[in-house]
Amino acid sequence: MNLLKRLAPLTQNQSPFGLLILIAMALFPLMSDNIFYIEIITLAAIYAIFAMSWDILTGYTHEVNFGFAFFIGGAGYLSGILTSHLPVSLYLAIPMAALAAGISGIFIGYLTLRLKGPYFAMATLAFASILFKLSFIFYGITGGEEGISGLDAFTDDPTKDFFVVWGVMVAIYLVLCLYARSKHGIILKAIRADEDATQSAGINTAYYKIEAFAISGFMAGIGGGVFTHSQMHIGPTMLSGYLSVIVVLLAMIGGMGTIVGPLLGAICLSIVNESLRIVEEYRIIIYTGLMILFIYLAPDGLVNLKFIKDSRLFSFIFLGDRKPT
Amino acid sequence: MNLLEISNLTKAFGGLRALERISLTVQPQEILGIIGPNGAGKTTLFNCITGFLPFDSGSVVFDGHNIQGKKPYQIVNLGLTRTWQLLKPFFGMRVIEAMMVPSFSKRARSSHLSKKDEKENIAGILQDMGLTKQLWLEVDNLSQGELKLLDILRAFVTRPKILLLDEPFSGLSHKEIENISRLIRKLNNEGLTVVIIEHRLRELMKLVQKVVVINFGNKIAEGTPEQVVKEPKVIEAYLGKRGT
Repeated sequence: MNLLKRLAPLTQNQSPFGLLILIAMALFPLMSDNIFYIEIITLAAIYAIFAMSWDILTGYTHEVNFGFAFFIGGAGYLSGILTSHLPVSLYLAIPMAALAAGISGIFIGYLTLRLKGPYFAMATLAFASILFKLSFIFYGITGGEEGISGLDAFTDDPTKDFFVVWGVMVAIYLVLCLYARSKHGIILKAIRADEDATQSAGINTAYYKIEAFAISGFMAGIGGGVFTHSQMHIGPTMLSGYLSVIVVLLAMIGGMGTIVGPLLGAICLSIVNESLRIVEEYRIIIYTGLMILFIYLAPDGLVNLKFIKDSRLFSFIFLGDRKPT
Repeated sequence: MNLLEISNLTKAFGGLRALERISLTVQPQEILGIIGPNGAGKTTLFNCITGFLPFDSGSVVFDGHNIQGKKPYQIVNLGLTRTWQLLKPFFGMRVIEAMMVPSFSKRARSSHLSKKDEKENIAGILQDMGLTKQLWLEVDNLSQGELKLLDILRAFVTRPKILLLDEPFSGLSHKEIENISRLIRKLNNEGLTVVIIEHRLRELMKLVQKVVVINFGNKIAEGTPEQVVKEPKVIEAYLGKRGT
């Protein structure tokens, strides 16, 4: 009973739409046991982890992290190396890799504390490209361009694998929602609006920025580890600028600063992207065209559209806002 | 005992001496006005006192603490808070959220109020100021006067001993000025010390007990409003020298 009471805040102010997405995903394998579809939805869930953990830093402080592959790929590689070169179980390797990503988040957050706007984006980009190059230099450990293959899997059944990934995604979604709705999220939003004013409200803004960086890095590290072991492979694409940009786009199209937005964006767009494989030669054109269209029509993201924010009903359904009358 | 003691404060931007050996003291529970022509160094003085700008020499002692080298948030947590001349509202947040930000500061949290009391306290202040209807609005939708009120309340929630107000009346209508004056008087009656920078002298003089006049970074006069306006140096600073 006590535990239930403590868990109560997890269910309060939840976005019904977000929960609907999570439940719909869990029900999907019951409808179809086509491995191809299961793989697609597993990948979508992993991208949702990336986009949501990116959102907790950038969505709430508006300092655009363009080097998110640093955390994803870094943790992915670390977990891959730990399980393949050392006798470490993946259930230990993933948390260790995530912890390392979180700690490097503190480090990078400290170094980039005073950088703003494009300078911050460039600095984060630089960190990711350093790691990208390192993966080629130390090809003995990292496998160079090939990456590391044949890594331990969670289970031997794709459907069970999907449920592992789904469980991790739901946990991360709930934790991030809780964090964003707590005083930490409110303070991050205040820093986004004006850092000086937040300081003159007696808040140590540097601490909260670094904390958000660490959490964002830690969650991305979990995502990277989960990706590595559900695909049983990690390659340099997971450290590339391409991945960083994709994560930014998924979160932006969904709606930054909401957690549910990046979830929606990542799931929908990943599914669309994979479904387009039936017209493979036009896939990239249609997919990027679609992204441009979304950004043109909803620059603040789908769930941040004005009519959703202004309407009582829609802001409750999508954002979980309960405005008193 | 002086609550705030500034002695020989000097700040230069390159060759420009923005503050030249300024000394002034603030007594507990008084309302002090700081006036001076544009560019006199008033806001620079505030920035130095609140830690947003490092100063070159001199000392600022607040409530027994030397505040030189302290970070702005640390100074706020000692009990010295400011508002902004150019408003820095928390756009993109609801009013109630924006009001909660200062309540997360160390100082506000140590004030022995439970979370619920704190929320009720904030709601109470907002109600006093007629902002209840705006509670769930986004800060973006507020008027200039409401934003100024919100800025003062934001500062007040940190439970300061001294509140530094930087031009609280600029750009406001008479009614809004009255509203803010009322709030300042009310807070002062409850024991808050207030320092105000202001250009609207008529409204300011009704409020303050003591005035300090600054021109070109120097303190040129100090005293009650009646004394200060008769001071030749002050008249000269505002109106220029009389031709002979």
